[in-house]
Amino acid sequence: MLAAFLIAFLVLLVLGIPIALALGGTALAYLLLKGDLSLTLMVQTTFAGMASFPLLAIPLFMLAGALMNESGITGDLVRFARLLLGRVSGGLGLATILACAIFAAISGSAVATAVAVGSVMLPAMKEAGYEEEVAAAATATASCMGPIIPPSIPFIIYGVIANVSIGALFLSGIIPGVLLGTVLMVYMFWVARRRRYPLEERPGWREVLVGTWRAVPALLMPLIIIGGIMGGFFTPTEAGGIAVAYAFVVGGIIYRGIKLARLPAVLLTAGLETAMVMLLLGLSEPFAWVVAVEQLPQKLLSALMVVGNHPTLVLLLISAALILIGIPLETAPALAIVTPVLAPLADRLGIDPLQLGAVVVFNLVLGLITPPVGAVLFSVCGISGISLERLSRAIWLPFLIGLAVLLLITFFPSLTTTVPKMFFKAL
Amino acid sequence: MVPAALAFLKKINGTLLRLAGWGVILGMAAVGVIIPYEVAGRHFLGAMPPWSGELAIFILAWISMLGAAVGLPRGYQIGMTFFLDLLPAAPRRFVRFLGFAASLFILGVLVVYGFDQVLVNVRQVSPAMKISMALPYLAVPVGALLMWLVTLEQTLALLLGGEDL
Repeated sequence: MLAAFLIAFLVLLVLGIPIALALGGTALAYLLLKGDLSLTLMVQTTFAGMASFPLLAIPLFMLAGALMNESGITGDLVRFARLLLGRVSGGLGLATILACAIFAAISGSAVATAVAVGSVMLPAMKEAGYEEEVAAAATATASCMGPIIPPSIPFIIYGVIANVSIGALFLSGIIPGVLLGTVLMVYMFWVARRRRYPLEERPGWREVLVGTWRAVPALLMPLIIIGGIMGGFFTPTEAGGIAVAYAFVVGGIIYRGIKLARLPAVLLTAGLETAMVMLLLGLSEPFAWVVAVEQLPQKLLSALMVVGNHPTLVLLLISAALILIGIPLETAPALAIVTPVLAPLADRLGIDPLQLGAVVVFNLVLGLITPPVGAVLFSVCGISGISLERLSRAIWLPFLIGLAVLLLITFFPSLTTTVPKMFFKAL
Repeated sequence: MVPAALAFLKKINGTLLRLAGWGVILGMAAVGVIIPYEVAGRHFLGAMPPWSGELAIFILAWISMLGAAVGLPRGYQIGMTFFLDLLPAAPRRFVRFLGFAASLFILGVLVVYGFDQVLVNVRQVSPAMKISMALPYLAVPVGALLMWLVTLEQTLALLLGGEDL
């Protein structure tokens, strides 16, 4: 029965139908083959997979990100990052990475981060004499911080399917995200020194003060979201609600960037992005039910035991598999497929569920910049106008940096578990 | 006959998806107001409205299903086209047709059994708002029906060869 289940899944995937439907269709094929189960199970589980309070964080963070972007806040964030780092070697590149990190703390998506920061910084770096592909590759990799630094849509998906605290998962991404940003900055500094990229002009005091002042409302948002979760004031869903209210007030009243006439379009875009993730989550529920009934995780575990049962070894094997899965699949669908299979393994192997979550999400996010296909690669190509081939040639070094950080969080669980355990005493 | 049916279907789908789009917009606006209101109630007013969480969850189910349908023709529901793209044009069209047929079947089951669940739950009331559970459940068959209609339109377009999908 398990073989038929897997074959049905592969066939539906190869047919190129929406992955959400492939997940639901596989469960449906299983129920039809079994014969003695009612098909209403499909509807009940799908509904249950979509109707839960933690999932409300998804539309809220999608909406907060869309509102902040609409408000034109990115321009002020980027200006602030340039003022801070412009006089350092490779300062524009460093500012891009810093701006990505700050934007990542507002938005939970890599593509949103790449588009928001890239559309301002890529033309600026080109004008300053940076090689286009170097600038594009650094921006693409830095955008990966989007879903790693909290808030994060992938962590919400993982947390809901694996039944792990979303707040704790958010906090588990802080050190890996900051680590990725820092190492990328060192890389950019090194490239800039070797290639003698020009420094920016020294800004006047007035410019520094005005630029910093204008960025304050945007910089406060991550503090409120992450600080609120760390302090136990809000659940992630509530933090999403606060983020929406804050983005609306700051973007609409302080920045005056959100026009009422544009609001339906902003709401619709955020709604369609939400629905894309939610349909996946809904239809992954009957799929997860079959995975559990057929004891797929246990069977995978016995297969893994042949190689060895050391947690780090298993994590390395999982990583290798996920890198491959991440090449053709985007993060959300890949998570909907692998989480029901992988999450039960954590307990049995003594892997901390937070570490497993961080490793899985980090892996799949790296898939967004792995040639030949990746949503971030495509959007950066779109913004910069360079070909996918040129970007693919330049991405390998920053990608290896990402891989090195992934290995670090695989070998050292404390990098992902320390921060959440400091703030969530129950863990 | 088929071109006329396709034109008619396009028109109907256009209207239905526009309505569904407004449903998504209103739903997102409602969720964006309800949750901050709930947080304000809990932290500043000292009382949490009993209905807010439940209402937001039910709206989320509707946003999900209606939004999935509106996003379908816009390419939001990602499929793995990696292998499909490797095929020459003629077999690719055939495989796409098989994919559409599979989608129509899966969505059809969600429509039929979804309405069945709605009927079963008519008398069931929700814990907080005491409204019929048929209302939130209705999101599943309605959204699936819209997606079924969009997929049917895509299938007819493929058969007529007008669109190389």
